[in-house]
Amino acid sequence: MTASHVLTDDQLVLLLKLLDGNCTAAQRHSALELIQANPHAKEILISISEQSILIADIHRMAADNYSGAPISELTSSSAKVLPLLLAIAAGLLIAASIGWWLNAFADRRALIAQVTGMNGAVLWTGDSGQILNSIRVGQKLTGGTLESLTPDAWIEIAFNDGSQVSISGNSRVTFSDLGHKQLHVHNGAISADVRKQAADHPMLVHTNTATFEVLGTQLLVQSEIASSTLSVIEGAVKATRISDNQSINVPAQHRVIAAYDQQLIPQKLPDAINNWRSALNSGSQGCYGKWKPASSDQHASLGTIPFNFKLPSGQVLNLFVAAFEPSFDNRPPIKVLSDSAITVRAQMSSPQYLWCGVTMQHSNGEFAGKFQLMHPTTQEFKNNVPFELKLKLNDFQLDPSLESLKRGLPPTPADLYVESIWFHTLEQNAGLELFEVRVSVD
Amino acid sequence: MQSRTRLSATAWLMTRDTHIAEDIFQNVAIKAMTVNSKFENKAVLVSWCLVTLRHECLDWLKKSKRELPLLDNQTLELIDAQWELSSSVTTGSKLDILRDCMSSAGAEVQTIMRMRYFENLSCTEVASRLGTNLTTVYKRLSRAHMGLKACVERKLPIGASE
Repeated sequence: MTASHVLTDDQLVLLLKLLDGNCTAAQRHSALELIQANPHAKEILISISEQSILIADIHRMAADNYSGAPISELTSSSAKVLPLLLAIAAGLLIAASIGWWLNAFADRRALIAQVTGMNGAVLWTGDSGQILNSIRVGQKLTGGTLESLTPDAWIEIAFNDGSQVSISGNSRVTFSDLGHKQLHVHNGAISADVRKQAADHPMLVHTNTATFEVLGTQLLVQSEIASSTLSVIEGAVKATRISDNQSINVPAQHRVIAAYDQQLIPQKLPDAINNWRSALNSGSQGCYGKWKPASSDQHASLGTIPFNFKLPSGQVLNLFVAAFEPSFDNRPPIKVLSDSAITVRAQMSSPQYLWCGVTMQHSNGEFAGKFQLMHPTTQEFKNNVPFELKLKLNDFQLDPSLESLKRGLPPTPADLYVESIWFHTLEQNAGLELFEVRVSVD
Repeated sequence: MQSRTRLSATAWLMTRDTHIAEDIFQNVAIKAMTVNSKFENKAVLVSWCLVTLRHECLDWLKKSKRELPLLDNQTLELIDAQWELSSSVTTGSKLDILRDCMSSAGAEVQTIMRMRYFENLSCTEVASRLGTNLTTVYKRLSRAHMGLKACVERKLPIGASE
């Protein structure tokens, strides 16, 4: 190899940027030219890709307390095909033994759906009772139960016919496809874009209070203990209330609330609003956190609650979270404009970095991204002294963990609808207490 | 370099997710074992596996709404040709050597490699997690890769290194 083929530090960084998906069109062009012209660049790229695979192998083995037996290999010493196939089979068995068994195992069962997007803390319980917190995009699933564990968590699955269901916030849904698709929404919210189903095999969405029959449409379902709300975006859905077996058809752009103490009548979907204010003095509905009623010397407040989540690597992430779902209980949706802002009145017992974020959705309920802003520790944060922050939503950035999906997501929250607003500190409890949160337009 | 790592690494170059790359490799391996075609020799089989693997990667990218692969077909072909020239060290041997090199590499290298290739974090996320800037992450990653490459090549059996 000649000296001219050796890569400079900048060229190495360029290759890493390319592999990170983080380069401009001009940088990509330069990187591809470099790879094509320079054998050393190809060698480095091969080395990096091999290292990535082997490092992942090492950590999977460590995560599964692997005994250290050698990995099987596809040898090249023989020109015959059989040894290669046997080696591939051996590789599969080893892969299964190191814990990356799911797809191979699941292939023998009915794989009915695939994870097409996810973010945050999500659990999947398969039909053999195995609980996994390391599901990932692209993973194929048998029937089972999906849980999104925090207000900012989200997961989207696609059934084999392309029907998509997304689950967000603190929600738990069991799904199956034994002739016809069924969703049991135990609690929380789902949105679904359902492909046309056979007339005698509608998708059935069950909640605590109703069953919805879906033949092909876009809909949102919110399930609570004593009521459930169906919002139909497109098409029509038949809703049957469990308590009296009464049924109605809900047309597009209408919703119905199924509860024993309300009339089962479709209503037009409410228009969006641009301003919103929390009402902690009225109670804890629509809140996630430790609610305290007003006292003689303090307003009602919402404190954070700890949430521990084990990453696939084994590392435990500690978040202290408080959140609001402004559109709970059939309140109108909040549409964010380019000059919208979030104002928060709060206090902390030990000042730390504060993250504020919003989970956004499109008008049809489809996930539209999470945007956040980290506010550094400043003089505004003093021990147990109330402060007020005004955060412009245009300054919020897409959550870095959604980097790989960013091309399919809007770049800012403008013109989207608020699903939840959340605040958290990381690793240590800062004693964050929220007194009021407002969304307003300047 | 051998077929399993080569196939998985090719899938990683397209998907940039080590776990997805492993899944796709497994799918291709299952197809290779069940396909109703007879392969004349190993080269034909590997070639078939590579073509199938690329299609699987493209399908996955579409289904998961990811961006299209960053490397075009022509570049992938060139990299593949280079792979053909690589050594015949088994994955098992190379894995053991890499594990040795990783264990002596220091906590910083181990942490950044784990975040990037096991947790599949982007460099932006790694920077955020480490509380540093993106340029520093690229530089550290670059040093880590080159250090591991040199270490592996030192420890490979004579005649096996590239």
